[in-house]
Amino acid sequence: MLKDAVTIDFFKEVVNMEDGRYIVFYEFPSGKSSIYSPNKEETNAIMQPERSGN
Amino acid sequence: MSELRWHPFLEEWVITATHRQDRTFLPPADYCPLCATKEGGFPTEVPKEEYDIVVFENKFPSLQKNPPPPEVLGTKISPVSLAQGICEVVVYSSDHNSSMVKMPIKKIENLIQVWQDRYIELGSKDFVKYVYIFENKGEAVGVTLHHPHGQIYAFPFIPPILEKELSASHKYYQENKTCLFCDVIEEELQDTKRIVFEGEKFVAFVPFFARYPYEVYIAPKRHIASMEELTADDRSDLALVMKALLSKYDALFDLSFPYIMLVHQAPTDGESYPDYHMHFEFYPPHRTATKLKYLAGCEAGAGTYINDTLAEEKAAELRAIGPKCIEEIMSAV
Repeated sequence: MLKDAVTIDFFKEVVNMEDGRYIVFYEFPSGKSSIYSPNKEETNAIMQPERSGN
Repeated sequence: MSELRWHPFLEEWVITATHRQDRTFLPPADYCPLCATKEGGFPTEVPKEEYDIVVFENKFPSLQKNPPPPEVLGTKISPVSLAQGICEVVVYSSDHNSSMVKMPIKKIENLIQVWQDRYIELGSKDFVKYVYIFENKGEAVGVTLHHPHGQIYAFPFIPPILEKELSASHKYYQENKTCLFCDVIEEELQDTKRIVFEGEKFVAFVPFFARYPYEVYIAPKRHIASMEELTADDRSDLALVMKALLSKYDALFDLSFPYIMLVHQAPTDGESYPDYHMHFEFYPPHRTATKLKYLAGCEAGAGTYINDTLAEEKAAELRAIGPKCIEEIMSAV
């Protein structure tokens, strides 16, 4: 069984996309300047994905 | 069309995913789907102008959260099953021309944290029995997008190679009351001939039984079953050892060295795996600067690898080239 969550130092934003997929943005203190709200776990924003990958 | 088909001779699942035939294949850099979407530019898979690290569900997944029912009927010998799971893409950087080796140590540490988070999150889902983290780098191993990224497959079963490793680890523990990997690492550290780089907490080595000329394992010296047990200090040292290895790879033939990287760790099927030891494996396809090792008749058909080189000599090559200490790693690339 999985244990308690590891110690983390990132902000995470989960966005649901129009086609039903999700996208998770991870932002770190050492990364780029903040454009997300700290500890914002999930939004209901719908975004339009386009090009594919992989 | 997507389903699992049972291979009765090998007793393992084969994933059928015909929709993947249409996935994006080596697009021009100006139309990279993993770059950030810029104002006025074409919309990519990442609908933000900036990002550190981003993870999203693969548009052409081999396994799906809500898979369609199989379109074929299985047989008594070869049953079919739902191809249920999750396939994620992990984009390491918004810089199209970056790669893990070019990233600062701190950024590699961040990536390790993301892997930990995905392991915990995906592993907590009832239908996920195994979280498989990997990266294909370079066209030589079939990469279809050059933007730095890896993938995660959340499997509804434990994949066969892991089944075998888990079984071997358990059997060894039953017979010796020690961890198989801990003992292998101890042997390598004492022998030293196959060590490529040693950190405080992790060690990179060409295994005695290497199947590829430049195959390298990176393993924690202490017994850890999965990534969720990694501490901040572990992550720092792991990032350092990874950067050292990748810098050595690139220096070897003065090219951006292709490889398959993967993480082997404990399953997430609700069982306990105290005798398993997590580690990374790297399989580079190059056997010389201009020649590749192919998995041909003996490997693909019989499952027996032929290595045309000596692990001890390849480890010595890697030891001798590229960064050899922390200061050199920090200034590498």
